[in-house]
Amino acid sequence: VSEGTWLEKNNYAQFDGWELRQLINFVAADDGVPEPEIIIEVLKGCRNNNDYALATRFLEVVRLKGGNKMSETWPYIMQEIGPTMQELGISTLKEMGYEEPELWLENVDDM
Amino acid sequence: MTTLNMLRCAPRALKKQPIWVAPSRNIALTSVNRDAPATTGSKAVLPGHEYYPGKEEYSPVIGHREIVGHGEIPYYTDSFTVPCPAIRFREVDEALGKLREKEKGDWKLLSLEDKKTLYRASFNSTLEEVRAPSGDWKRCIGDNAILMALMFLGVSVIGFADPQYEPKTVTNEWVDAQTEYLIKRRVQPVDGIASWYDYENNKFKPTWSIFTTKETSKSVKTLSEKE
Repeated sequence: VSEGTWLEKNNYAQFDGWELRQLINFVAADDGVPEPEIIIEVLKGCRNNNDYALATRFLEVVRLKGGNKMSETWPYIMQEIGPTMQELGISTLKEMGYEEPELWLENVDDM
Repeated sequence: MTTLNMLRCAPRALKKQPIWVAPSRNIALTSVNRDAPATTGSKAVLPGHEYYPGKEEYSPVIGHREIVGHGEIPYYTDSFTVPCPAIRFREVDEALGKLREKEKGDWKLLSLEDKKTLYRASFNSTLEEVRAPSGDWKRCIGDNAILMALMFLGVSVIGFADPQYEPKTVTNEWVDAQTEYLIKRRVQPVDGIASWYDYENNKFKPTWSIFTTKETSKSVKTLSEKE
C-alpha cells in the first residue's frame, strides 16, 4: 500500500461483523476506490464471519465507487482480486446478475 | 399536495392495515448494556442464529430480525451512502437457519439460488436497483396534462355558457340594423356589400346567398321586402 492512503494495511481479516460493516460504510463515504490489498482482507473477514451477502455488497460498493470511470477501474480490480475470489468461492457480480437491476421494487415514496 | 399524499393512505386505513408502527413505550434505552460485547450469553435461538442484543427490547419495531451493526435504534435502509445497515432485512426462519449452517462451510458448495436467497435475506435491493430510474416523470406529466385538460374544458364550455360573456354585436338584430345602415350609405360599392345589392329592384343579388345561413336568410328576406 502506498504511503498516505487513508486505509492502510491492517488486520481487517480478524474484524467482527459489526466493525466490518462500519468499515464498509466509511469506504462508501470516502472519496476514492480502495486498493486491492484492502479488498482482499475485507473479503477474508467476511469469510471468517460466515457472511456471504456482505461480500457481494462490498463488491457492489467498490464497483460503484468508480463513478463515471467504472469501466476502467472495475476490470482492473477484478483482475487483481480474481484469484482470491476463486479461492474463497465468491462468484462475481456478473454471474449473480447484479451488474444490472434484477427486480423492480416499488419506491417507498410512491406507496 | 400534502392532502393528496394523505389521501393515498385511505385504502390502507380502510383495510385496517397499519400505516406506521410506532415503537412501544417499553423501549428503555437506558437499560441497554452498551459496554457488553455482542456475544453475551450465546443462547441458540435457531440453528445458525445466536442470541443478539436487544432482542426483546426492539422486537415491536424490527420483529425477529437480526441486529448486525452499530446503531441506537436499528433500522433498515437501502442507500449507496450507507450500504450496510444495522439489521438484516428478512426475519429468522427455519429454512434460513439451515442455509446459515451451510454458509459456515465451503462457499463453493453454495448454488446460485442459495447465494441469491442469502443476499435477499440481508438486503432488500441491490445497489443497482437503488440507482435505477423509477419512471415517475411519466406520472407527473400525465397528471398535469389531465388537470390542464380539465381547466381548458371548464373555461371553454362552462365559462362561456354565461350570457354575460355573449357579445351583443353577434345577435341577428344588430347585424340586420348594421346591414340596413351600410346599404343606405352605399359603402364598399366596388367589391363589398353595396355591390351585392340591387338598388333598382331593392333586392340582394343572388351571390349574397353565400353569406347566409338558415337564420340569416329570414332576416335578409325581411330586409329586402322592406326596401
